[in-house]
Amino acid sequence: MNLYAKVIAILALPLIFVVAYALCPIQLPPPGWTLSKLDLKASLGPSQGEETVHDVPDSITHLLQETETVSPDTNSQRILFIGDSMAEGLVRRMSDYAQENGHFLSRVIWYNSTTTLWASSDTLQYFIHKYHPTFIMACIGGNEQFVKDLHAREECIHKIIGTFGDAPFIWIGVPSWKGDTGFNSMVQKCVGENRFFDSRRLALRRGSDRVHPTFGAASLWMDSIATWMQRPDAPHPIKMQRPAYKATVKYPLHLLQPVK
Amino acid sequence: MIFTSIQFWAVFVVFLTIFALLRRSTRTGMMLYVTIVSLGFFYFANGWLMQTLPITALISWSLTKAMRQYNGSKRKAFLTVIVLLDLAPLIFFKYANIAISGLNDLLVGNFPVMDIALPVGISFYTFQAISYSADIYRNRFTMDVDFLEYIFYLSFFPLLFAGPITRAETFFPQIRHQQPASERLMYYGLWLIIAGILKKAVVADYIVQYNNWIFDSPLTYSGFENLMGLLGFSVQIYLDFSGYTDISIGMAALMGIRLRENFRFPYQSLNVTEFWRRWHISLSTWFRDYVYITLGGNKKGKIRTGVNCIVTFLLVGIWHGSSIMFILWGMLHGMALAIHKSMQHGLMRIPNTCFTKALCILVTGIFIVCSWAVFRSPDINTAITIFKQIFTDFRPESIPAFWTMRPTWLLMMVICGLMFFIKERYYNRMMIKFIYSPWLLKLMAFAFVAQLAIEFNTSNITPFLYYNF
Repeated sequence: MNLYAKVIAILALPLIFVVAYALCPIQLPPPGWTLSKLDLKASLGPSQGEETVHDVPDSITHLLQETETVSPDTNSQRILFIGDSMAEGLVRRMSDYAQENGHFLSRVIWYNSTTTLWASSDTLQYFIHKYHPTFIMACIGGNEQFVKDLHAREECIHKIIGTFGDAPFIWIGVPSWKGDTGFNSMVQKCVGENRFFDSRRLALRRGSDRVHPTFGAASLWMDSIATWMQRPDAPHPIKMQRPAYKATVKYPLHLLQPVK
Repeated sequence: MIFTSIQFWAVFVVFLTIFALLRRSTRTGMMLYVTIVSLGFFYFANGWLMQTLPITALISWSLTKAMRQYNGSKRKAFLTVIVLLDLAPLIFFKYANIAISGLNDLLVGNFPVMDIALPVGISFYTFQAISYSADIYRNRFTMDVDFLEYIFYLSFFPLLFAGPITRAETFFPQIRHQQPASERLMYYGLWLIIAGILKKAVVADYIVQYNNWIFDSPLTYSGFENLMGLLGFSVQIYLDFSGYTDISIGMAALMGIRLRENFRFPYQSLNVTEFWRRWHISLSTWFRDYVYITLGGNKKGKIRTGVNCIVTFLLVGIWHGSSIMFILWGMLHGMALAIHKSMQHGLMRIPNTCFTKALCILVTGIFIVCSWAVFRSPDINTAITIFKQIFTDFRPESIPAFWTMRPTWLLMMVICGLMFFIKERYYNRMMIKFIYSPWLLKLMAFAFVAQLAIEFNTSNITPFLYYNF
C-alpha cells in the first residue's frame, strides 16, 4: 500500500468513525464506561470570529407593517439585574438610573458564571423569590463566547427565561472582543430581537485585561441600553430617564464567587 | 482554524490526499496548491486583513532581491528599509491602539481608538521574512529564490499561525530538491501529531479551567490552591504551545519537510541560559541571532553583555504583547540571564553531581514558575496577590479536600510532571518504537487519542495561547 495512502487512512478512518458514531443513535458502552460522542452541531457551528448577518427586511413590507407601540410603564419597578463579571460596570450605572427613576434595584454578579450554571442552580429562583422583581435585566455570556455546545446552551437559556416567569425582561449581549462562535446570535434567537440588546459592534474601551470594559465605558454602554429600552417598539418600556447625578442610595449588591 | 478541531482534521485529510497526488507530477503545481490553501486558511482566519501577507511577501522578496546586487552601506540601507517595512504592519496592528490610549491618558484627550484586529500569525511570518532578508544580507543564505518559493515559505500553513519560525536555510533546500518523504519521516510526523493532540486537546484544555479560576480571583482560594494554579499554568503553557508546534512540525513532516524541534524538555534546564535553548527555540534563536548578536552579544565585556541580555528580553516581552506584564516578564528573564552569564565561570567550578544538578533544576524551575505568574496575571496586583496567598494563607488543611475534589486534574499534573523529567533517550526510544510499529497499532493509537480528546472535551474551544501573539 502506498505510503501516503497508509498515513491518510490512519488520519481518515478515525475521523469517519467519530462522525459516523456522532450521527448514529446507538451509544457504545465499553465495560464500565460509555464512549462519548462528538457534538457535531457545536463542532460544525460558526467558527470563532464569524458573525451572523441578519436578513435585511424588504423595505416596502417593513414600512407597511404596523409596528405596535406600547406606552411606557411609568410605575416604579422592582428591577433584578443578574450577570457575570461583564455586568459589573453596568450595574453601577444602573444604580444611577434606578434612583433617578424611582425604581428599586437588586444586583447579582456571579463571577465566572455561565448560562449552564444559572440554569442548573437555584440561585436565580432564590433571588426572584427574595426580591419579587417586576422587571429583569440579564447580562450573561461573557464566559461563553467560544463554546461549541450551542445546542446545550440554548436549552439553558430557555430554562432561565422560564424561571423569569411572567416578569418582562431584557438580555444584554456581550460586547465582542475577539468574535464568538455563534453564542450571541443564539441568545438573540432565544430571547427575541426585541428583548436582546446586541452589544457586539460597540467599540468599548477595555481595561487592562483587554476584555472587560472600563467603568467609564460600561457607563456609556448602560446609557445606550437605556435609550434602546425606551424605543417605541420596545415590548415593555419602563422609565429610564438619563440621570443627572450619581446614585446616593446603596442598592443590594450580591457578589457570588466562582463555583469550585 | 484550530488544529485540534474536527473541521481542520477533515480539511487536512482532503488536502493531504490531493497533495499526495500532485507531489508526483509537478513541483510548481504542488507549491501553487499549498500556497493557495495556506492563503485560504489565512483568509479564513483574518478576512480582508489577509492581504498583509502577500503584500509583505512581495515587498520583502523584491527588495531583498535588489539588495543582493549591492555591498557596503547601500546593502545596509536596503536591509534597514526591508526590516522597517516588514515591522510596520506588525507594530501598527499590535500597538497603534495602545499608543492612542496612552496619548489619551497623557493629554486627557479623546482620540478614538481604531477598529482593527491583529491578524493571526502576523508576528510569526514577519519574523520569518526578516530572518530571510537578514540571512541574505549576511551571506548566510545564498540560494536564489523565486517569488513562488518565497510566498510558499512565508505562507506555509503549518507554520503560519504560531510558528515555529523557520529559517530559510532549513526550508528552501528541502523544497528545492523535493526529496520524496521517507517512511520514517512520515511516521515521525504522525507521532508528533498524536503527541500534540494529547498535549493540547486532552491535557492542556482540561487543566486550563482550574488555572483560569485562580488567575481570575486568587483571593477566593487558599495559598495551596494558588500554588496549584501556578504550577498548573506552568504545565498548561508548555503543553499548549509545544503541543501546537508538535502538530505543526508533524504536518510539515507529512508533506516531506523536516523542521527543527521547538521545545526540548525545557523544565530539565539547569539554568536560565539553558532554558532558553530548550524553550521556544525558534524564537529565542531568532532574537539571539538578529538582536543579541547585533547588539554585540558577549563580545563587549560583562556589563555590555548584561545590558544586551536585558534589552533583548525586553523586546521578547514586547513581542508577546503590549501589556506591562509581558514587559516585566521579559525583563525578569533578561536580568536572570545577565546574572547567570556574569557568574558562569564561578558556577562551572561547582562539582557536577546528581545533587547539584537536582538543586539547579529546582532553583531554575522555581524562577521559571514564578515568572509565569507575572506572564499570566492580568496586572501586577494579581501576581502579588497570588504570591501573598501562597506565603501567608497556605492552609494545608485544604490539601485533602483538593485531592478529593480534583483527582483527574491532580493525576494529569503528576503524570505530566513525571513525563517532563523523562530522559530524552527514553522519549526517542518510544518514538522509534512507534515509527517501526505495525500500521494497525498506529491506527489504534491515533483513534485512541482522538477519542480521548472527545472524552476530555469540556465543550469550550480554548484557542492556542500563542495564537494571540
